[in-house]
Amino acid sequence: MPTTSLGITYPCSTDLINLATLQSFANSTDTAINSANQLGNLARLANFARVRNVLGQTFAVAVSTPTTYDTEAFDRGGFFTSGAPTLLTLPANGTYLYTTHVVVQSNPATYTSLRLAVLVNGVEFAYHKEQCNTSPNVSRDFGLSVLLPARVAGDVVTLNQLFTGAGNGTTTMNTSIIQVANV
Amino acid sequence: MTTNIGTHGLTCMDGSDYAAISLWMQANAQATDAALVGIRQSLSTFMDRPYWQATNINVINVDSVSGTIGPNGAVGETIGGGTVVSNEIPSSFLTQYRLPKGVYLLQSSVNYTVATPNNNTTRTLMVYGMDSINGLESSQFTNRNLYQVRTLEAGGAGNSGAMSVQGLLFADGVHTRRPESFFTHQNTSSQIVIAAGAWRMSLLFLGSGLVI
Repeated sequence: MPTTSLGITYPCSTDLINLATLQSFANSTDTAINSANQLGNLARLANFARVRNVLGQTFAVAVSTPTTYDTEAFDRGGFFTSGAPTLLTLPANGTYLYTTHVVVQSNPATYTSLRLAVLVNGVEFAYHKEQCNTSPNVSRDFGLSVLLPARVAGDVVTLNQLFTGAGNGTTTMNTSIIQVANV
Repeated sequence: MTTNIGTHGLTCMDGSDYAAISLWMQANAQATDAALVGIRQSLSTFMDRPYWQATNINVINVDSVSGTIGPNGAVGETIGGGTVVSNEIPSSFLTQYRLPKGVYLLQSSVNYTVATPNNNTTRTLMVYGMDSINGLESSQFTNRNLYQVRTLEAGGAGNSGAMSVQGLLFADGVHTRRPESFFTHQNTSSQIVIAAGAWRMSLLFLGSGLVI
């Protein structure tokens, strides 16, 4: 019997139509639909992780230090392991959208800045720096979002924080990463 | 396809109907196949979103008196040319390219050093879409979907800064619209230096959406 491009079988005019013919038609249609459904599930259930630091991390002034995550809120794909709490490891080849939100919990009252840097395999890739004084009081909520294109499985992403000014600072943070393309 | 038999409204297929059944099954198989192929193509597009990212390859100096004219008459610099990584969008630096109709996430991030800035002077990083009209661009009048972020320097000795900004860019599929990242430095007595590889601009297709 002939088949379509997705393997659906159907009789031609000279084929005998019997129960087996009809079952083959139904089964092959079901297989083709399942294949599309699996693709749909892959699209809907993209690799995605959300990790947090809820306890607060203190950063020594003038030292760019990796963020340590203490809470894995969600992890499809296995980005995070508690044994390496500063790393997000990309589970597959592709392009990822990375977003982080940092809240300064305490910092010196004099002119102070916090610099965020997203690193891929130890190399700075994107940055954001703002003043975060308590006096005069300015923004203490920082955000940074960056596209990480054409990465390979096993690449590691870290978030470094650097306080400049008169003293140490403490932050909590919430980071999300999602795969947006397979290439 | 059926023939009436008896007197009780019953029907049965005759021999000639077998070919019609085959044709019916073939038509349905092919229609199902075509529908599923379309779905698979849509899903593939969804899973492999078009994107484009440019990174500057040359050192860029920014001052407040020379450079190009950006939105609102600001003087500054763009990435210009650079290394491009892309999918489904040309791998060259976009100039006269008509983005496919849709909604895009537009981002930029820059790292810089500045020598002896005056206190309370500002730097601004912008992203927006730039339209071409008859092959010509006029930045003052044709930028679209402008997003910007501004920092304030404490002044004094040399310093380093880093900025990021993002927003949504709408492409109507009619205008030749390309992404732009623009940096301004509002201090006449100092100069910004952006190292090679320290300025990025990204574009990620989110969906076709309803575009006005």
